[in-house]
Amino acid sequence: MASDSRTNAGVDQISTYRKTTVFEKPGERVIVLLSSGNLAITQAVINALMSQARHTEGPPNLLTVESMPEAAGLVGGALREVQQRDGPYLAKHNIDARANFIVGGQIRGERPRLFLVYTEGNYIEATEETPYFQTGETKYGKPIIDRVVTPTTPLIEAAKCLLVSFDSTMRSNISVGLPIDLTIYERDTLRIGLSRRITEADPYYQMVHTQWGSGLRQLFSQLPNPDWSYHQPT
Amino acid sequence: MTYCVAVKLDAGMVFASDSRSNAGVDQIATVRKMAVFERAGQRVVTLLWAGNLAVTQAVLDLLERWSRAEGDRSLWNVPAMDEAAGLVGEALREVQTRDGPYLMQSNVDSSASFIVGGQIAGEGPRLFQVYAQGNYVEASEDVPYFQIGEHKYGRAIIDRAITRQSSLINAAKCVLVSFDYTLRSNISVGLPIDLLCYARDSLRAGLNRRIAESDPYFQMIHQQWGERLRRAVEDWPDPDWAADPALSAGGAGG
Repeated sequence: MASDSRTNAGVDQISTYRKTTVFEKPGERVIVLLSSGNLAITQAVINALMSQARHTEGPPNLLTVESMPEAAGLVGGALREVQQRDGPYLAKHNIDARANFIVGGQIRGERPRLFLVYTEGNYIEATEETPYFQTGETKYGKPIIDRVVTPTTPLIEAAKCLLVSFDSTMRSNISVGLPIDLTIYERDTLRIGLSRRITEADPYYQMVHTQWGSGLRQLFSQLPNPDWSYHQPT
Repeated sequence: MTYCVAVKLDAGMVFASDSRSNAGVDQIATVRKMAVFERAGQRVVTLLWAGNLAVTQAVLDLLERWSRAEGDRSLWNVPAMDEAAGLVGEALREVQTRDGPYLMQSNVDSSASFIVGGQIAGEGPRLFQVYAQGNYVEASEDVPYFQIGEHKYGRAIIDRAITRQSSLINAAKCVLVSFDYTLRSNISVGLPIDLLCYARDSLRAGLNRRIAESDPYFQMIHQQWGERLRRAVEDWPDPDWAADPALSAGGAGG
């Protein structure tokens, strides 16, 4: 799971915010949230979820729910609450109050599961055929994931592919920016495998950024040429 | 929607356009979005377009009418590519002035844009994009390509894999992959693809091919590119911060 860190409210109001939040009870559960959309809304949602999770008693929270769909439902519920509270004020100023969450991970007793929570608070689960979700500026980085990642892809290959996908996106859209928060979860471990903040100074990311293109050019040189006759009679 | 791309290389130019036209999910048609004004040894002017179909067709009709008259407004006579781009912009403005207000009454989007490129004897190859307002910009050293229509899915591969030094054929292969990416992600972009390769200073259209679904080469790209890309990612060095061998294990069953 990976997220960028750019937030902007115009070209001269750019800042860096983490969009990955982890709820972890090692050996018992790992729930990772990625957020996109209105920053005040997503922060209020995360704050509400964290505050719920501080209570060991009372209604279920992200550290006590028994299944991932319930976790997605909690995120959707918190989102609806914030939207109801703040939405009308934002609407008065024509401010976009939309927000999305990707909710994934594993709770003991279940397989790893991945959900997308819509701005309306409802949610869908990833399937075998479409084993990934993207939110935000999704188009530039989609083809490489489509082509390279399948359910049987090793974690490290998928992680490399995600970095290329981010590089594709950041080249084309300045509203997406480093650092990248990369979280790797290995099935049935019930603890975070790798959680790394990849900044501009990261030598591996620099290598992807500067050299992936020449790798691609080599692939095109190796791809057989068509046998179309080059000159057509005019 | 539409996808068109034109790339300018030291070796020449590659142009490509899709053929999908739609006005809703049940009104889908196939239309060509490429036109070539070619007089061998003298000029090759290639046009690609995106936007309102009636508007773009009317612009083409007007350009053809002007060109038949062989006057100042003929694409056969203009002495430089920037004037060809200017003519396209002028025709677009004329059609917009005539039809725009009627389309606006029904809230129909009348915008259209064109890519105009090629070579006229006496100058080097040049590439322009004509905006919906009829003004235009020329491709530069830094950005040697233009895309119009649904450009996002197919952009990164062109950005990374094509440089000014790329050969025509490698650039053409990359453009086909860029189309394959776009076709897969957006159903409002559709086959066939019209592909034209122009070799610098040849002053004739080199390859001008319509690539349909049955084209074996495009099928090969569609089927094999993903596999080749997967292998390239695999062969790419792993980061040292991922030394945990468990991360490299495939399809951890359990």
